[in-house]
Amino acid sequence: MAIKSSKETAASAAFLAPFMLLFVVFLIFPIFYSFYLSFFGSPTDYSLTNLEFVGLQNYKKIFTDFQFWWSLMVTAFYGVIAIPSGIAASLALAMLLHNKLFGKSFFRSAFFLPNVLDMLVVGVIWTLIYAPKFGALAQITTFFFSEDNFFNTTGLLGHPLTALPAVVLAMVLKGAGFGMVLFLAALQNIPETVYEAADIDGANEWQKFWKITVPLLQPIIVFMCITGVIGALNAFTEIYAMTSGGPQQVVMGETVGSTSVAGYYLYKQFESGNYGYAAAISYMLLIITLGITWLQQRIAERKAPGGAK
Amino acid sequence: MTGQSHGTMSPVRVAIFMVLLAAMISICYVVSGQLFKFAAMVITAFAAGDPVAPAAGPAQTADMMNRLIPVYNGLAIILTIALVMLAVKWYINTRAEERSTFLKKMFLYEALVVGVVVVLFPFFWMLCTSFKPSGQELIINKANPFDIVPSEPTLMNFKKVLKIDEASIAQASQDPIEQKKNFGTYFLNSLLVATTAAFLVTLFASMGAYVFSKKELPYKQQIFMLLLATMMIPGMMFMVPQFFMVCQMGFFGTKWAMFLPHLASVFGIFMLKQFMDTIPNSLLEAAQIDGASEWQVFRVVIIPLAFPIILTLFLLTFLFHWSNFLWQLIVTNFENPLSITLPVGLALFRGQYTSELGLIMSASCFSIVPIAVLFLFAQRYFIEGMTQGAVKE
Amino acid sequence: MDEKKIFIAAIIAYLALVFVCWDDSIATTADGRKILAFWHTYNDLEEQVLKEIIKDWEKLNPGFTVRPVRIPFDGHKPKLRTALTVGQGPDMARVDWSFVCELARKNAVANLESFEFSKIRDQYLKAPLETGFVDGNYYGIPDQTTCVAMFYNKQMFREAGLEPAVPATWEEFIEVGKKLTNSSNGQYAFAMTNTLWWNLPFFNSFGARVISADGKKCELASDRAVAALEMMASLVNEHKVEAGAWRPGAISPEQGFVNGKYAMIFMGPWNLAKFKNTNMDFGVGLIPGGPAGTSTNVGGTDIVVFKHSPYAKEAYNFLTYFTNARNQARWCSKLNQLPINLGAYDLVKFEDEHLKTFMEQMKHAGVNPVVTSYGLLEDIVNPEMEAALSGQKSVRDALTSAAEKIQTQLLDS
Repeated sequence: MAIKSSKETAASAAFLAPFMLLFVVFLIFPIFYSFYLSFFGSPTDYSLTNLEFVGLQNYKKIFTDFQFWWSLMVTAFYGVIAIPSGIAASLALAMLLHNKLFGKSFFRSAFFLPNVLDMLVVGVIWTLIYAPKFGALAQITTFFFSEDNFFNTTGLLGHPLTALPAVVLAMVLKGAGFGMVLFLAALQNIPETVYEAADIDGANEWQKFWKITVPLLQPIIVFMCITGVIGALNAFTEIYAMTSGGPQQVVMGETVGSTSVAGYYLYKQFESGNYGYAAAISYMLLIITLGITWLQQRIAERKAPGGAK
Repeated sequence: MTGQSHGTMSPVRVAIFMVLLAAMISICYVVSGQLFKFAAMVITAFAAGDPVAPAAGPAQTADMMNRLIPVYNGLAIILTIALVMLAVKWYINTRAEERSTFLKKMFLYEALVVGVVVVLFPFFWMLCTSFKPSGQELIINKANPFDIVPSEPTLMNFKKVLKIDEASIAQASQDPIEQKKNFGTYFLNSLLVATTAAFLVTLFASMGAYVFSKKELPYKQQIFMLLLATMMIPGMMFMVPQFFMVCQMGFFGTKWAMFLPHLASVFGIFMLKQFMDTIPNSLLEAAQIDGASEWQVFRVVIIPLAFPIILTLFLLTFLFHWSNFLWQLIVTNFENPLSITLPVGLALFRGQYTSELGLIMSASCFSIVPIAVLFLFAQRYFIEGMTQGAVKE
Repeated sequence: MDEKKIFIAAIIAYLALVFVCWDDSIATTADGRKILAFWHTYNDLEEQVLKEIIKDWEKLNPGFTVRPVRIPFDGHKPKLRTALTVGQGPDMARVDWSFVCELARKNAVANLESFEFSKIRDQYLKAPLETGFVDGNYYGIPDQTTCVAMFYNKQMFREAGLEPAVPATWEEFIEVGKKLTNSSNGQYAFAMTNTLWWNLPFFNSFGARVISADGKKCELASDRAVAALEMMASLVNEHKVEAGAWRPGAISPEQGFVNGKYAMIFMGPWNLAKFKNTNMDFGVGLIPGGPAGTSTNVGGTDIVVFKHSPYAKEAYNFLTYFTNARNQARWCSKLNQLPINLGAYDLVKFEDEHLKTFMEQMKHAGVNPVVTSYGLLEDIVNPEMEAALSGQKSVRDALTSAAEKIQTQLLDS
């Protein structure tokens, strides 16, 4: 047994080696460097050496930075609407196009195709669609309702409450095809026999979906959730292309952007040359995300005592 | 559910059918009208002038387009009427108890078509805009705001991008280095960079994912968690140190520099690992009992089963390196045209204030087309092919 | 077997690609002359004129050659920043006006006074020149300048029964604006964007400065600035002559203008050729005057000489040659651009009437705020401006909090 496991370890290490080598060489140093940078102020010149040590000041500054905490809330809101709707849209498409359907492969390709498009192009076009007075949405609603309707006067991107969901809608429609492909591929790995057994037990379609399909697709759902969190934390291009962080709101005397997500705020800090502060923010985000993950696992454990996983 | 209206004409059902029919008519007429007009527009644009010779003036193409109006509108009307007749015939031929299923299916198709129209609209807009003459890109058709196909098409934007318009030919340089500064060079450079990177990423990521999903390794979970945690840090934090390292290694301005730091794709390993988790272990055990070596198990069992997802990763990685502007910009040696990749080359077109939308969109068309071709080839394997990989136990 | 064939074909195609593209070496003629690398962001036409001028300069300076290297304007900042990190910067570079201050404060570019710039300084137009003025010294030579003026749709004026001309003052502008606006039809007299640079003409025509002349204090909360923003807000809320183009997600003023919905917009000379292609009947006028008369903003680029360059003096010498009156006149007449050299004002003859208006407008340009990070300045001001325009904050409150943030985040740090 011992021989087998050491052989197994050697094989595993060999398979993993090329990836880990690249990872160590090209990511470990930048990770440490950016962590190191988070204890320094803005560089006084362009070399990497002339830095002023400021200790924990960058991290202290975060705690009083209202804009940061606001952007964190916006990010949470973004994640809360983008992740479930993304998963739901991909799963719905996959379930529809998994069945026998005329023109199935055409629809599959068509829904996947927007993934190859540049985010900026998609952003520009959705802005045009949402635009008040000129946009397609405004034209359609003016046809059915009066000219004074919301889509024609303010537009979805012009109102603090609807701007973020409007951005999310555009992104979900762009990305749904990718999730669909993942789900479709995983659906192929579900043995028919499982469904046949459920049929014998008299389960209806709805029960089969929730009791068999969803649990067996869990790895993909986990993947979509985690990449969704990462996507929410790194969201930047879509905001840049569609709203530039606006529309503005006044909250507790501070003017804050209702679509100013953390990734966008971070980018702005980075662009302004506050590298140390930007590094501190990204590590703060990492700590917060890991903290939430840990907490959530603790709660999950308590809910299911003795549950193996 | 269908029991109570057995055999009778349900007015509710007929009303629903009528609504669906009306929706179908409007979708079909608008969509096919635009598509036929687009076809007419492309034909006009090419017919008006040989792509290399000077293009015909906008007035001439507008005239041609005007004459084609009855053709493309007529085709759209004929198609719509044919579809309506077909739908009505199917509806009547369907037995009464199956009519609600028929209506559901009709609704499903309409919803799918609307979905496809919405998600593919950006493509269509991009294509249409690239045919628009300078200054006309932002003008909205007053009679029909949904009509985005240009009425005065021109190929000028494409010619300018490829530098085969009159002005570019006139000022073509004799300098061999200057001559290399063209779209073709940038395109091939990017093709090489993106295919190499995509191949290596998928290879290394699938090998790694296999270990994380199916094999034993001390501290496997911890290593995986560490990898995931690094994904949370935005990539821009790594840009400057990675640039510094690449320069120290002497790769500045070479093809290696364009992709090397991005080969360790945690995203790829994560995606493949999650998919491999859905592959039943029994298949591997069967192969191992047959005496297959580690590499054989990986090659014969894992790769074919995960092939759709591996191809998806290949495509996404290709796409990432195909449009990785900021990184490739900073490692480009601009004195050497062989070091300029497509996204960087396209940025060279863009001026400071002059955002010639038509020019930018036609350049985007050229960069999207190869991906679309790659996709259409690959979709046979990963979209249709998925039905063949089904596991039967 | 079909798949195997595809596989082999793909491998052969890939190998061919490697064979064609992998080699990165290029042969550059080494003729013993010393090379001055010049990173520019010009387009094809401009590059051609640049090369002509370089040839003439090389005749006067036989030991040197200028190598023009085009880099994309989108991304010239990160490109230069990273290149300077590893010491691979060029000898000189053309950069956006807002970038000069950062380069100067980070000690990367040469103080032009070390080449006795003051001797020739007065030949340049004041507003573009001042964009290179940092902490009491000049670091950038302007090479190209733009500003915005008021574009107006003549047909919309006629339809409203008005003489097609831009009003001379903001009061008249509001009166005319009311006649031009027909909101039920989607027609508005004016449309503005929500970024500071585009709205500087308002502030400048009220005589307000964003940053004080010594670069140490933010003066955005001054009475003049408040009056300017109050006037802007009144266009939106009180007089309702503005289309709301400043709201996020709205159609840009440019798009509304070419579609005949907005009668007047601020726009620069770079769009003249494009607008002519639309066949619309438009004119260009001076921006209406406020208490400080008509005024506008400054855009464009400066050229800087890098400190690390061993041939900094020769690079400077080339730049003075490149921007002298004769070469500026040649450049501007060929490319239809505004000269930055006052001497060239008399030498260029434009056929385009609109460009003459721009030349006149340029003389009245205000001074742009010069700060280390102009992007951060906009990021602070724009949201506050939007809050004031949408009536969520009073104009004074908005400008006061913007001024405070600029002071602490940008000027004092």
